[in-house]
Amino acid sequence: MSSSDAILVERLPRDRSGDELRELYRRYAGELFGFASSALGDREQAEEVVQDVFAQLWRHAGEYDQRRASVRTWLYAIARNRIVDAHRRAAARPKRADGEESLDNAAEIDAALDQAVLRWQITAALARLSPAHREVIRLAHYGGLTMREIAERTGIPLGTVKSRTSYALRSLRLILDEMDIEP
Amino acid sequence: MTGCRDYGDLVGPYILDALEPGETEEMNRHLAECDRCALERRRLAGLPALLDCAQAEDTIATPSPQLEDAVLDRFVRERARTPRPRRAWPRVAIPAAAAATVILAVVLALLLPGGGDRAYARAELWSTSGQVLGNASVAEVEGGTRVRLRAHHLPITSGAVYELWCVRTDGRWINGGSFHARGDGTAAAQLTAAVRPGEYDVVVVTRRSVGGERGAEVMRGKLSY
Repeated sequence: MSSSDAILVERLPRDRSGDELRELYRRYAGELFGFASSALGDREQAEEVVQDVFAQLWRHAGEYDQRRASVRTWLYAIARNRIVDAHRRAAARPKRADGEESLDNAAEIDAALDQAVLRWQITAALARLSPAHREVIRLAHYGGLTMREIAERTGIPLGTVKSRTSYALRSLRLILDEMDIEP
Repeated sequence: MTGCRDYGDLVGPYILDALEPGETEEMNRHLAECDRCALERRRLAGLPALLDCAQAEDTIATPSPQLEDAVLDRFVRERARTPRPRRAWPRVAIPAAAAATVILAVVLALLLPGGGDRAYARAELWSTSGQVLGNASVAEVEGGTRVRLRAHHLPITSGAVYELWCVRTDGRWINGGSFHARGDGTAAAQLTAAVRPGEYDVVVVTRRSVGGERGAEVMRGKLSY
């Protein structure tokens, strides 16, 4: 049975082998990278953020108090701070040649980060659906097709398309409930 | 909780506004009188707004395998600079330990070329079927071991990810990081493991671990110090 996140963090100050850190990395690096990548739009910067998050984790593991926040919440808070720093650094630089403007105040950064987190979470939730469920949502919601049009396009019986769409939305709702995402 | 038997399958398409106009009107009438479908509609009603937060083409970005090595490498280097927690030694032990250290240093200086501050070892890496697939050379670095690995004829190529393990003399496997195979089945990597030469005598390469389970063994070798 695998150790809980809190136990792994508790062992980190004594971890000389890197085993505990590696386990935490494997649990969280993917989603932290997805979050950072979504917020920054840059893989290289996102990888720097993930590195910094884990460096902060092992440096401050002794201060972690699981009564205050879960390890996941803590890691996201660190990542969020690092992303804000990255945005501030970008804001201090001259405007980018491609015309995109950097975010230059705290409220904008906060709003952009909330949006980036939500965007990443919805994308992650959709990725957990079966390909068939994802496809009907993609065609109906993002493609703007009706059930009949989807049936004609895919060759799937109309009744199946309708029931599949309902099942897809129910599954998505359950996944989002698991992720504590409310409408 | 789902909608009723006759109309339940229409609630999802209704929420996504993907019904024909006549069906939508029929659902509007039905929802006014069916508690089950009305409840289902309330439960799913927020989904279109949430879906709008993402784009159809959004994909889950994944970090490169090298990032894991970079994180672990940084950890090993930082840990090497951090002193271990100090233990309370009996008074008599301190001069004894100091004397032993001096004697050991003299012996090492006499026995080992270059002062003995770096240990080296090499291993040929063999597949389970007895074929030599590569070699590893080991050097001590601050806080751990640097393993230089060269492999050829790897069974799965095209960017497959492999992991290096150092098997300690007490049987514990220490992960040394992951590396990619090239398209021609070769690989060259320099990885860091938080164990010191002498603490282990076997190196093993496996396929990448999945879900906490170590991947299948690909090759192994015994180090000659």
